[in-house]
Amino acid sequence: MEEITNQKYTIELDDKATNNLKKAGRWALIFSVMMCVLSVFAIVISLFTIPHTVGFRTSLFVAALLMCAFSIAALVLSVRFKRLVNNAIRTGDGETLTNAIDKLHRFIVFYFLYTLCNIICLAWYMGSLFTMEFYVE
Amino acid sequence: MEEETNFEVTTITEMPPQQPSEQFCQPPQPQKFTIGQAFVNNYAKAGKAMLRAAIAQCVLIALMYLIGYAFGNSSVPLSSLMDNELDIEMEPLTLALTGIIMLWTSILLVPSAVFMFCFAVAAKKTSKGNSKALLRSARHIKTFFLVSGIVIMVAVFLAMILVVTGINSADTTIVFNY
Repeated sequence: MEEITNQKYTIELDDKATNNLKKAGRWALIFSVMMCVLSVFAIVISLFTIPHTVGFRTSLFVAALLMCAFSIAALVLSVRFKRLVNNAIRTGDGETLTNAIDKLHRFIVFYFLYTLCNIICLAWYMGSLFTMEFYVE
Repeated sequence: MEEETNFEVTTITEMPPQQPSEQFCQPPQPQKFTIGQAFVNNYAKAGKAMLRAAIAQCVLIALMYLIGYAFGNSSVPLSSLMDNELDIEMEPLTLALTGIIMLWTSILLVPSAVFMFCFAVAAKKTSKGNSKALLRSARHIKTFFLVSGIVIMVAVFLAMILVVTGINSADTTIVFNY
């Protein structure tokens, strides 16, 4: 990284790095679409396949809904990230690349929240196993 | 008397031998971007967020593995994990499938978490001005998305099986002790 002034730098991205960034944008989009699909499945599972208990099922349903919301936010951000990365590589504009990295950062934050939801959901499930008993009707 | 003709006189000249274009001879030049402090700050933030997400993913892997091992491995009774007595009579297929899904997904999530940590380290180095780390981080972020994308595709496929087989076995009831 070469410093031009106090605030400006130049970075050089070779062909491989730009291709990697393009591929990252493409796979981020696929990843976020799959996150959406999985959260829809989580909603279906919480509604139909989890044993009947009002509190338990409601908690899982709320967690699945939150997962869905976070995955939709991640999907929007991944679309923007992909577009900005492609634009930045085509035009060679550093400002666009900066915006793309900002979108990537936000995407990661939403992925973190999505994972947190998963953890809460599973921890609740695990914790509830210690205090309940199952039986078949 | 000479007759006038309308034929155009053309002269045939030899084409010069084609020289290979200069652009094919030169190696591709790296693309230059002029960036400000905001880029460096954003990169540092992305690295920190990725580190947090990686830690969260490790916790998730541990939880999934624990539940998956308890459910998927029928030789290990779930009651061995806890002190109080527990009587589990869930639909065996649903129980086993849930276990297998959680085990598989937890194992598959490990490489994704590794690349998350790699990106976090590379992003930290990039924010300190290491240009080689920038190229490395581009590779890591691509691999992270690729691996995670494939893992989540597998998870979706397995969840689909669970939904298809589990909807009919939703006649299990949970009663709380308290």
